[in-house]
Amino acid sequence: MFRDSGEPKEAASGQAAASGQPLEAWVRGHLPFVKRYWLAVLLQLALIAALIAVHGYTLATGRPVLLKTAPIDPWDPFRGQYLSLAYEISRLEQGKVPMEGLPYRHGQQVWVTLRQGDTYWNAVAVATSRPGNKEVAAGDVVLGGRVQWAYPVTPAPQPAIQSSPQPAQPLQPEIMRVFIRYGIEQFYVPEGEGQKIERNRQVQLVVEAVVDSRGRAVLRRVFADGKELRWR
Amino acid sequence: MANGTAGGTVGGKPPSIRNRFRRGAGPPREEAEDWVALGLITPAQRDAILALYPTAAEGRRDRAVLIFSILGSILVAAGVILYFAANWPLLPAWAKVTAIFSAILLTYWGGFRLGYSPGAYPVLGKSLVFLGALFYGAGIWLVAQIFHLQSNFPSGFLLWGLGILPVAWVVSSAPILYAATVCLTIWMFSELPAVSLLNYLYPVLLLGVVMPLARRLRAALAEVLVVVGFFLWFAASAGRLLEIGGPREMATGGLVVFAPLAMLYGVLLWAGGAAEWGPQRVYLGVGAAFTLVGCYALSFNYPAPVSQLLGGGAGAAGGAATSSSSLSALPPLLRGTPFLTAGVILILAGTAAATRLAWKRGRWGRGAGGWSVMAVSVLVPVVAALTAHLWGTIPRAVVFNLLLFAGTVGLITVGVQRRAEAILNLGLLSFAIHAITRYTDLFFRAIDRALFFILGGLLLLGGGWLIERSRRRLTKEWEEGGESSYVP
Repeated sequence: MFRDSGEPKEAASGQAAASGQPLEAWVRGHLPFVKRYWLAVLLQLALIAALIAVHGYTLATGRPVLLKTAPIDPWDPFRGQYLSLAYEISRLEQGKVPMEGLPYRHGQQVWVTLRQGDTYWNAVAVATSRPGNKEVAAGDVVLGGRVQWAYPVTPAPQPAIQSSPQPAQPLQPEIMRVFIRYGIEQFYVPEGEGQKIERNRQVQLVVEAVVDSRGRAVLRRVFADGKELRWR
Repeated sequence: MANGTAGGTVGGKPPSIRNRFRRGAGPPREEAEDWVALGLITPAQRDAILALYPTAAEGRRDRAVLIFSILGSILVAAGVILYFAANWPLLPAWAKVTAIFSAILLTYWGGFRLGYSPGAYPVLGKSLVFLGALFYGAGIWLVAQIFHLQSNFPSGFLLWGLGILPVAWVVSSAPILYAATVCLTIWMFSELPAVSLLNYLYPVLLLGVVMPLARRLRAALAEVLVVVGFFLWFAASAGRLLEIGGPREMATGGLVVFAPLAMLYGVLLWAGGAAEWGPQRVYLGVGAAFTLVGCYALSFNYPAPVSQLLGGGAGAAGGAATSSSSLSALPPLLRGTPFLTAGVILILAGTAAATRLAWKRGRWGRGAGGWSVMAVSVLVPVVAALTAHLWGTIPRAVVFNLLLFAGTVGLITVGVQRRAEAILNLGLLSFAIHAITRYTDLFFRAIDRALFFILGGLLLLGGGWLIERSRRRLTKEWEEGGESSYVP
């Protein structure tokens, strides 16, 4: 189809072979320029296809979970507008949810076990290593995330129940508050739509995510007051 | 006779001269006439030599077309990214993915036809290939948008860099190599807090893939990016292990770790330049810059209580405490010290090896002079790092201000003596930054704010005029007298 005449001068000058790069010399010897060129382009397409395939695998094999959210509305110049979603399972506190392997550090991988409540799924445990199948109750889902930040807080004092004077209570031990990201925090919307949703602060957003067997989650649908957000 | 002499002369030219000819910056037309007059080559040989190189006008025109085409490609890519990002939610996902793949394929096809086969418009073709590399990167982010992948998407930069490296290799494109190196460096910084151990893939890619390609393409800027990127990776990794995160830890870490490390690395690069590890202008220039930046960081009079580093833990990135793994449970200094020590030993060993090689090749001055300069240059940052907590802030600031001044004067002197414009410019830049910083330090609080700015502005204008006048005079003299390349 094409003449193999367009090889760049630098590449054709045989410097690769002369500079002691046997692999490069071998590739040049066995693959003409036209094939090398289109293989490099195909590699790029394959990488993008792999990105899509991983997403498709999770959607096809994962289990759906419903999560409660609270949106804010930033703008990402790379990708237009999106709703930035934080979930109830994003901000967790030691004591309310059992946490193994504390304290956590920024960027650390953690595994959160989710259990279905009446409607939404809630976090029931956090661990630094992925729980095995035997450690997870039937029906539970394990979701992978990364610690965004973690810091100790002092719990609010309990209100006094009796009117009689009480001896001074010892200071309560600090507990860890952890914010975790799961990779499902952005939902892309047409320009301007995000601001409309953000202006209506009464709206209750619910996300349907899908979690695969490796703990990877993808966003499937977002509902605003029970109605799916769609623009087509 | 003429043949043999000419062949020997050309073979013995230093690399910088060969590079200048290759870039079309100065084809040896006049020199070739002299060579004919001297009987070194025949008129036919002169014509054959000149036919190898573009004329200066051709070289300038080609570069201008390439630069404008690449700028045009960047604008087109930015426009396409923004247009699709803002307007395409109404399309179904399969149509979007088809559009992305089609755009990439069509752009590369156009680049191939115009640039290589049949190649009627090579400069435009190269620009289209560059545009294809940009479209590929845009495609990654658009796919992330279609499927609502997270915006904090460091793997996107890794995929972008890895995907365009083979194209840079196949079409020998320096701009695509620069783009790949920048993508990989952004990925390294983005992934820094997320990887469980240190990111060892980045230095492997830099030294194993980018560096050889930069050498083959003679892409000096890519080599600069590699040596700078490698240091950034090393310093960032050490900083992460030592948990140098908060402002106090950064200030202390700057004095105890980063500034001495930058100076040592700079000395390694000088020695590498003298030993001809690569393009001398890259290694000597970047090495001098690293050394001066290290001196500059130590020239401020802020205190350095090392206990802030020894205490560790509280300054972890993002306010997080240490993790519970056995490695992370160690105090930060214990975790970071082996890595740091190994790095410093490697830097010192590399410096010694390069110095020895340079000395053997007669590039470092045979005798005690070169060795003394090298020994002092190595000792200064080591002593600074080891004794940072003992020095008073004022003595340390005074000593490193003097060293910074001496280094700047030394660079300017070397630049003038060797007629090396890049070294001279670096020295003048260092002088200007040093002067502005100290002016700000000394007078910002001492005099009225309005007077401070007026005086500062006048000093800048006057100093800039003086520096530019001197620089122009020198470079004009060199052009009239014939520029020589910088060889230490």
